[in-house]
Amino acid sequence: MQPQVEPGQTPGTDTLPQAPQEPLRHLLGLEHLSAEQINSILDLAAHMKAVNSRRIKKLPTLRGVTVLTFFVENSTRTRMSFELAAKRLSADTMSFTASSSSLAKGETLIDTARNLEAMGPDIVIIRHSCSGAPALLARTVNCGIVNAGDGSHEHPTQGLLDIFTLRERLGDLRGKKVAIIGDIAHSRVARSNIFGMQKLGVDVHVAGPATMLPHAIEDLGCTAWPRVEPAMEGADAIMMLRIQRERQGNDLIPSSHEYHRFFGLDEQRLKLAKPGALVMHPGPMNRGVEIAPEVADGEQSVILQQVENGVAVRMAVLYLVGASRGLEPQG
Amino acid sequence: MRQVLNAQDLPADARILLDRPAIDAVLTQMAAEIQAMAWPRDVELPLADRPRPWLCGIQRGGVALAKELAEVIARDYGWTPELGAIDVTLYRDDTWLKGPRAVEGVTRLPGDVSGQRVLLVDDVLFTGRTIRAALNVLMDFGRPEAVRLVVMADRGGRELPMAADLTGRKLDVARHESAELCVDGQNRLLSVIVRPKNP
Amino acid sequence: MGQELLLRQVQIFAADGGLSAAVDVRIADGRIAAIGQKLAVDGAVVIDGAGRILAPGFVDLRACAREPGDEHEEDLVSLSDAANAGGFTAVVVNPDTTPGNDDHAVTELIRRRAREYGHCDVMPQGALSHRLKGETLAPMGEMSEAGAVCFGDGDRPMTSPRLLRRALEYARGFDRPIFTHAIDPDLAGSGTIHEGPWSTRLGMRGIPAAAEHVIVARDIAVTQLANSRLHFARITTAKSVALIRAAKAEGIRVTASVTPWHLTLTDAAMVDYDVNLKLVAPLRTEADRQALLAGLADGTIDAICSDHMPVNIAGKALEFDYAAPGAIAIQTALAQVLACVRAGELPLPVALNALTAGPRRVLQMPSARVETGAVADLTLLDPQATWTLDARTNKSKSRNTVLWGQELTGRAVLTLFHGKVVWRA
Repeated sequence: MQPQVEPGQTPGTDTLPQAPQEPLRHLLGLEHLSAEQINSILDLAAHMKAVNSRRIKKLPTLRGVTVLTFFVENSTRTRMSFELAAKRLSADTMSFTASSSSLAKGETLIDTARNLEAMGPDIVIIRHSCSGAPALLARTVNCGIVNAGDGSHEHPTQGLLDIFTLRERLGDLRGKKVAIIGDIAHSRVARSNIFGMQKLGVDVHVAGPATMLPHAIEDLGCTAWPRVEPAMEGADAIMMLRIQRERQGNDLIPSSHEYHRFFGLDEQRLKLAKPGALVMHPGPMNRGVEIAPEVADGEQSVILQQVENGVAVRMAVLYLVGASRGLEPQG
Repeated sequence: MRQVLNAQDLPADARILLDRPAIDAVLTQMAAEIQAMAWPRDVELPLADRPRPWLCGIQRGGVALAKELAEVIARDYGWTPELGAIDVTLYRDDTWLKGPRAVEGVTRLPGDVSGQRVLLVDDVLFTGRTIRAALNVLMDFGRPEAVRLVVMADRGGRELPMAADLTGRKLDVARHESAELCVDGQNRLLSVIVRPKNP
Repeated sequence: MGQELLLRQVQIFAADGGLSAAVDVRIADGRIAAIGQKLAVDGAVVIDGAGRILAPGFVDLRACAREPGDEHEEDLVSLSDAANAGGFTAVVVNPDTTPGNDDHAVTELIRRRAREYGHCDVMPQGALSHRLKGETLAPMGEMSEAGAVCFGDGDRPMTSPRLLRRALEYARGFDRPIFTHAIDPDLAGSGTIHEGPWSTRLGMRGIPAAAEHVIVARDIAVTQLANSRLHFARITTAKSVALIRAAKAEGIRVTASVTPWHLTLTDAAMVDYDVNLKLVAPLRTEADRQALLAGLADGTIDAICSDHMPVNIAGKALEFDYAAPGAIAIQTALAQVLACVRAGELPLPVALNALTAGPRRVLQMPSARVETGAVADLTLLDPQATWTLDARTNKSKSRNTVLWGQELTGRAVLTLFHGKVVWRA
């Protein structure tokens, strides 16, 4: 499959984006971004992706900008992706993780954030197990805040990279059907994708055992199914969410074996989707639970492209948030 | 660069400095100078081994100009220069003053730039800041043998120590005015205009 | 006794719901000495009451004093001051202090400390169970003697209907109602806000409405079984209102109160993850809010309680999931309720009744009337006065409220406790 779009060009439009770009003070979620904002981030990401295939994979754009990764919930690969993105933009990076932090000693999040702020970061990338923690930080400290996943709320850069991958493969996303399968109730990836994809006109279907479908999910505009088949039928892409090991054996699903039988993506179920439909997964995968190994490694899988695109999308976000800082009155 | 699809698209306060016939004359003259241009290693290399320079336009006006220059060189001298495009958005020095910008266009070189002769092509030379950025873009792709700057118009007002190796026309433009290249729907050069700067 | 007062041209709020024509009211020796037109000054301090309403002092059925144990958040003195500034002259305080009020010694301590200050009638809720553990009955008899006016385990859910039955039966002998916080902790799970479209959007774990009304239904049945009195200290859902309405129609002796938060806000207010809106009983939907207003209007809900819960900054400067629940409200409750009145959602007499006669009825206290000879526990309120809750005006030791810094309309301008001026704006 070949990319159908010139880097930096929004599918469905034939003009180049207009400068200057709308500033982006923080990226807390996709819910409050417009379709134009999402498209402009993705257009920019396409240019960033081109940089990642050069011999010198570096831009001078964020020279002198300090980026702090503040991870109060562990996620090595997301942190690495952000750090690589920051470094490719020539930013200085530091990292702070909860295990080595003073949070464990009873310091409040706000105290910790103020201490970190005193070190002068321009951008704070926060991952936290509590929904709303990035919003709290954005109200507390004078830095650009990028949400790297908060509780069950949003994971906007993951949503953007998923949409970027879709756009790269499918072009104009209007009218395309995407199935998101798994623990929708506890998934920030699902929420960011539901919010973001629908803005670009995607027909989003979510499915999983009803124990994993949150109350009033259809109020968000998507279609929900307690079995996966109707969601997968005719889909242009199927995104499988990770089933958290700790959720097995509690009251959401009887066992991972049963989950795989009724809700997992195997070659048989994949045939329900459009021929050549994309198979996506935000990682890390539980092979044999939500996804069969042969599907994960099959030719319809774009799982590794998602990872690659993650760096480009995060570069675009860091550039926008970093450059928007220039418009703030400096204290 | 401004796309002018019909006559009404031209701003009412614009004054035309170069029209299409004038541009044609400038292009012919620039092609001749490019053909005659001397390069540092010319003395070491026999004529047949000397690399032909690439024409790398700076997005977006320089790209349109490079394309037409290449056509004139092909017409008058029988060889077709390889074309490249350079976007400087992410290399600008005013990101901190003006906030984020959308990237204007792609950066794409015809091959490995190391050892290459490169003609950096821009429509209007003004402060020199864009050229500084474009040189940095180029260096991030490798080590060219030599780089020359080719501009269609020089309006003066330099803020950095940059000078063009080849200038089509010198223009008399005041600081409070802006000089712009106009192109049609196919990005063919139409004119160079001058008008009061947007406030 | 102290200085005599003459309130000029006030409108008296009568227990039957009406407002009188403007009259003068004279206060002397802790009582209402005279009501009439053009009363002589005769050495009294004159207070202008034009456009103001004189009502019996408000009674709050639910507030946390944090004393003993957490006096950095509130104590009986600051609570009395905040109550007075809110128009309250009597407050029921929760037993979930440190140590808990499950013993007559703690009850006596609370009563004595409040009496020494002498600005407010602080009425302890005694614990229902030993150590508030929900296992064995606390000594309700001794605590009744010491001044406990009702029993309950504060915010702890009653997991055992058997123990609730025994408590209801035992309390009958001391003529005290049982107060409960209706929530099924198993169904509520680790939820923090109402389970609905907003919890889904915000990615918050939800507390389903059913977690409340399954317990309301259960407790109504247990109250009937025990033939006793039970007060739902804070209800939040439309279904709870309907269940209580039906139970009252059947003659079952249940009563209920609602907080100003649930009358004025819905779960849509959670959009900013404001920790000051994290409440023990979560904000529900607009349909629930309308049902609560209707329940007040038809008498299904007896009282408005402030549910005042002071929380120190250390308990609130945290992620939403980790922050301590609750908001201070005793000083703003009147303004919050008057906002409903101004919006045409609640008749003024219903609102004032729910702050005066309603809570007294729940506790079977003698009804308070503004009449000659009555003890002067009075609130003079100005429904139009504007003010702002800030560091200067706040009487609580804590400041955990979304109303901080906002301009509010309506306040008590004068509060009298046993004839003494305990608050004057």
